[in-house]
Amino acid sequence: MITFAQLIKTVSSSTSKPRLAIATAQDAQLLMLLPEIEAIAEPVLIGDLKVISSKLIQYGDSLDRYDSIDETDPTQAVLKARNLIIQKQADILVQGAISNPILRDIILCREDGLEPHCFLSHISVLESRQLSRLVLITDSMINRKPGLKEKISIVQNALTLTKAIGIDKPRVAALAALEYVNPSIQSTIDAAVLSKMADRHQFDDTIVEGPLDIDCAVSSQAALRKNVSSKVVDEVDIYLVSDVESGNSFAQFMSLLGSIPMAGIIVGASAPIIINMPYITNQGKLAEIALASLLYQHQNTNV
Amino acid sequence: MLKFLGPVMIKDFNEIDTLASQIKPLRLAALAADEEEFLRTIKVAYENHYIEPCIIGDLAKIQKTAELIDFNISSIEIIHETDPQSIADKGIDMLFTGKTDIPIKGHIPTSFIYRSIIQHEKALGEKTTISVNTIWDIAGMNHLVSITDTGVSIAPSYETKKNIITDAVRLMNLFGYEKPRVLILSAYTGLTRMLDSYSEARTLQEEAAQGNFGNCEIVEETSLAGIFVDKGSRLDDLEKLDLGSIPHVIVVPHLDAGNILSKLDFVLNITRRSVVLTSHGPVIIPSRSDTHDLIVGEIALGVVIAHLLKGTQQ
Repeated sequence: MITFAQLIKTVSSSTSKPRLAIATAQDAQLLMLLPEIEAIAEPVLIGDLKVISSKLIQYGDSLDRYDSIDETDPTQAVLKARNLIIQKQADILVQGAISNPILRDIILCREDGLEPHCFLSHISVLESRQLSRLVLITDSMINRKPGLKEKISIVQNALTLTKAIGIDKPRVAALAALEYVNPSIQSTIDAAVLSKMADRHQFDDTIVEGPLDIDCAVSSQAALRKNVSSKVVDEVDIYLVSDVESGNSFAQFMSLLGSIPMAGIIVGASAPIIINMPYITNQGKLAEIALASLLYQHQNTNV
Repeated sequence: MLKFLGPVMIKDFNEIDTLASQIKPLRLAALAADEEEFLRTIKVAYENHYIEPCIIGDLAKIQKTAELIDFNISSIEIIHETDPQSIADKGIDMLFTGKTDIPIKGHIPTSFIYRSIIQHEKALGEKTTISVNTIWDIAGMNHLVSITDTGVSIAPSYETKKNIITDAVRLMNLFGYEKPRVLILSAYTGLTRMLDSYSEARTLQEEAAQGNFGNCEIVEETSLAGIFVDKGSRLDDLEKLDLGSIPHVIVVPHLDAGNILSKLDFVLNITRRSVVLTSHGPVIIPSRSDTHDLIVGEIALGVVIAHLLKGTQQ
């Protein structure tokens, strides 16, 4: 199986390293990890440089070693990070110590955000030894109640990421509360349509199976007992969930109760976006940067 | 045999199984027990002395399946019925009239049973909504956790959530958790616009503080991560989480989420058993994918709940 360590190694051995625009870089985790981040990317620290410098000294590091932009106002720091991306002076946006609503308003909602005409979605990536694969759960953070049109984009964003990280012929489970279509439950209808679209090669050669409830997606025995014939059972790479409530709790429960390392990334903008969630460990943060780097490289070799 | 179990706090399914084997066998109505895996379950629970079964369903099919699995049903009451709604109605009616202690779903769609329970509750003016509590025994934990509602309400309204919480608190009180902690899940992180689940969690928390859902505490956090990671801090090590801090009840925002979470036992080190707690006792609703070992455990859960309910009525 592909592991986070392998992804990090792949990126670190790459000749060109992407530039990270770290907005409000005074976040302790990011600053402590800078020596390891440097092995896979070139950080640009944007924020209150007095605070950043003081923290770096505490960690035995020095601000002089990094490109930096002094900006004490958090909102302005995010705007400057965004501008670096727009001007192609940085390749990946990283959320530092700024709050989620400010990031949302500047990057995700505004017309002058990062590519307002694109469709953004969040993908949680779990390194599951038990399932012997990287497991993608989407959308787990951004889209509250996606309709069919949005779910098509969510699938396409996830397929872009799987291509970037080298998952061949990914298999998608379009999850719902039931494994058959119930007209009262929209997720079952959307899943069935996506599955039929895949049958007609509207996602290239990707297999999308749905509706599937979780047991039929992860257990061939359960699928057999429910008389469900599925091409993805036991081999799902991408779990498409009905909405953010399902995706967010699914990813968190898997990671926290299963001790499964997790990373996350926002896909769909002109640059990958890494958000700052307190339950992402140091190893997960490095995996996020590796995922974003691979995505950036993939998108820039396929323009 | 135990006549009545005194106050206890049930910490895991081993304790449930031990108690179920000590209690005098209770009456169980098996609804549509004509499928092999399910009838084998009834056989094992009967042989374990958990239950005295009555089987409602197609007599010819039941007899044929019983022969297949070498189950002598000559001394077991069988009520012949082929219409699924009638099967459900007869079983639930037996519960509400005191003729059985535990109905269990067999080889019929769940919707027939839910419909029958709701009609019986409405007729008595007891409840207008029902919910499924999926109980988790998580390896390494010292208390049970209920995930709810994992089976009935597609998108529960605020009023329905109040009933869901009340049912779950009542159930956990029965298990001996005097003041269960309740987590109302919401995916709101500030990256989306406000979610109803988050604003409702705040209001439900206020109502709980006023005692509107029985003796319980709704916690401030609205995610599992929030339980493990204090505000302003960061998760260091996934292997060192304090599982004991997980609340006793976790309320899911809707059925899609509930279905995923409740069945994570397929991939995580969790054992699951599900039950509907009606005003007149437990109804066991196994998933169609459950194996007979799991369903035997669910029967043991039903036996203990029915027994504890009888104790509260004494």
